[in-house]
This record gives sequence, C-alpha cells and structure tokens, in this order.
Amino acid sequence: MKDFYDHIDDYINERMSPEERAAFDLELAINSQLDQAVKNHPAAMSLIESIIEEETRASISEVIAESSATTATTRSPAKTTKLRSIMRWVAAACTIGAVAMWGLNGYQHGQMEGDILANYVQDISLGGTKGGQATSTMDSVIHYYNTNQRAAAITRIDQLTKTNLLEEDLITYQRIRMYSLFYSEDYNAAAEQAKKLKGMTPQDTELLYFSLVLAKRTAEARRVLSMMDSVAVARVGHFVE
Amino acid sequence: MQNITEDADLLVRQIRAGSAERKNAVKQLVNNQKLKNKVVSYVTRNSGDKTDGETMFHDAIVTMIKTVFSKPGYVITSHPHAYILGVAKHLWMNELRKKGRHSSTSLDVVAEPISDDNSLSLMMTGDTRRIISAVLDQMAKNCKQVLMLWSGGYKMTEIAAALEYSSEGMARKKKSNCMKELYAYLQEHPHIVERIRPI
Repeated sequence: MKDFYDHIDDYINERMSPEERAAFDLELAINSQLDQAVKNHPAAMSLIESIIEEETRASISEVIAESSATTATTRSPAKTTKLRSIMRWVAAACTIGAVAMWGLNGYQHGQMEGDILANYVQDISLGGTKGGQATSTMDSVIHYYNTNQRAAAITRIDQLTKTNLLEEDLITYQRIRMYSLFYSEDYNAAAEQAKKLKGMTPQDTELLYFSLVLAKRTAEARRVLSMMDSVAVARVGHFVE
Repeated sequence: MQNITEDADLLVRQIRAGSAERKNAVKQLVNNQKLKNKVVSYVTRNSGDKTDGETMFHDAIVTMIKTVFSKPGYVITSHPHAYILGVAKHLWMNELRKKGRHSSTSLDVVAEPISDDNSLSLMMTGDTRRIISAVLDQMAKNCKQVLMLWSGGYKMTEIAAALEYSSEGMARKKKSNCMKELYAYLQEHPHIVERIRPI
C-alpha cells in the first residue's frame, strides 16, 4: 500500500483483502496520526457529503434572488428606501430578541424565576430602570440601548467585557453591542462584532447579512446568504447583487 | 429550453452530469410554480403556513438532488413531481412530529413511494449546517469539487475530465492531498468533530 491515508475509506468499509487489512492494522498500531484520521473519517465524510447540499442550496438562493430582483425592479424603483425600511424592521426585531435572550440567560442561571422573570423583562422593555435608577450592570446597558444612547451602551459594554463574565452574559453583551453598532449605521463594525458571536441565531445571521450588504461587502454577504434557510433567502436574498 | 423536470431519467442524468447541468435542473424545479403550489397547498392543509410550505419545497429539492448525486445508479421510478411532493410530505410529517403536532388522521396519506433508503435522514439540521458551512467555507474550491465528485461515486477518469486535470493520476493525487488537509484540519479542531453528526 503506497499511502495508507488513501485507503482509510476502504479500511472502514471493509473493501480490503486480508493481507491489506493486516498491513493497515500494523501501521495503525504504530502511527497515531493515521489512527486519528481513521477516527475522524466519519466526520470528514459528513463534511464531504454535505458539499452537494451546500451547492444545491446556493443554487436555490441564486434562483430565488434572480426572481426577487426581477420582481423588485418592476415593483420598487426606490430600492434604497425599501432597504432602509427593512433595516429598521430588522433592528427593531433584534432589540426584542436581545432582551428576550438576556432574560432567558438570566433564568437559566437561576438569577430569576417565574413571575420575577416576566416582571423583569417587562420592566426592561419599559426602559431598563426601576424608579429612574438602573438596577444592575445589565440594566444600565439595556437602559442606554433602549434610550438610544448607543455610544454609551457600547462604551459600557467595552468596559464590562474586560472583566470576567459568564459566557452567556458575554454573548448577550456582544449581541447588544452588535445591534448598537448596526443601529448606529456602523455596518462594518456590526459585521465584525456579529462574526465574533458564539451560537448565532438566525436573527443574528440575518443582521450580519444586512450589515455586510450595507457595508458593500458583497462577496461576504453572499456567503452568509448561502448559510441562511430558504425562507430567509426568499425574503432578503435579492438585496445582494 | 427542454423541461427536464417532467422526465425522471433525464433529470437524474442532468443531476449527475455536472455542476452547470445540475444548476439548470435546480432552476427548473425551483421555478416550477405548479409543483411549488402543490407542496405549499399540502403543508397549509396540514397545520403549516405558506412559509413552511416553501421551506419544505426547497428542502425536498435539496433532498432529491443529494440522494441522486450520492447514489450512482439511483432510479426515480415515479414522475419527478410526485417524487418531490412525496419527499416534501415526509419532511413535513417529520417536522410536525418534532413539534409534537402530528396527528395520524390529520395528514393526507402519502401515496408516492420515496425510496427504500434513508434519503430523508440525509438532511442536515440547521445548527449542523451552519457549522459545516463554516468549515466548507475554508476549504479550497477545487478540493470541494474533487471530494464532492469522489463521494458521489465518480471514477477518477470522470473526475479528471470534469475538472480538467491532465490525467487520472492528477485527480487521484488532488483527492489524496485534499483528504489529508481535511484530516489535519479535523485533528486540529476536535470540537468540530464532536459537533458534526455523521450521516
């Protein structure tokens, strides 16, 4: 056998003669890299078998984008205005998402329970304060954000993220920072912040996409679009051309 | 333009012929309003909305392409439209089961035989798809092409011809190098291996 790596698939799928198999087993016993490759082979195959799915989804996105672009051209001469209005809609949706996510994180950490959570989220949605005073570090950030003091929110978050934070809280801060940057029309920075998010939601992905579109980073926007589900693609795919 | 979506044999050949032909097949399927309406109609009659219907339509197309591509010699025995509608129905039933909204009496009977294999389990879930997309994004385009064709059961001579390599040996060497790169990447990123569910 010239190169054992070329025969891993044959080894796993038992397409070897007894002699070849014995030689492979012998090499496996002394070659830890090969052994690891054999163990990782199923994951490698999962990736490879997914390429066709990726290609097909990209084709579907292209077809939908083509037809959406045609429709948009005939229906809406004021494309920029339409884009802006969608931006605002997305940003508004994300605001709700950020608060909801924060509430959920807090709940998961046992910091709030049952009715307290409901009251707290309602309180935050009304401005993030109790009696005019911010009630916690997170409150203050939400308060800045909800009162359109986005630069202050970003500054506060930057201070906080230098300290030791629970990972879930860090993600929430990063998410609020991303929305703040986006809503401040700093689309490049919003995109970069989005890329740093762990566990992106579909909403986050959509925001990243719009940030890239508005920052005129078309190639990257297309790549992000190819990762979205077909419904999102149908709705927003035509903005990247 | 010939309507390949009406002829199962032709459609299968197109899907396996090459990237451009496959793209044309996808375009004709996606733009087939009548077929799309059938899928959307089924889903909306069974606890879903239009958006669910469109998602199932696209997912059914993806499933069909993936199945045909990954199984050399695969035969679609029914009309392509019936096949896609059948796949969409199965996908939607699975979706309803996941959501706990499945009632055996509320769904129409699925008349079309799909296949005797595990085609429907070939679909990636959203989260896995995102991870896989991110990894594939880092893979060189020519590696993706050669590995995709190899996994689709294409012979090295066919791969060499499709990707314009000078010889079968060149295609074999390219595949070998790409596989080694992928093994090395996975070894360096064990958390990705854990997240990818083997198909």
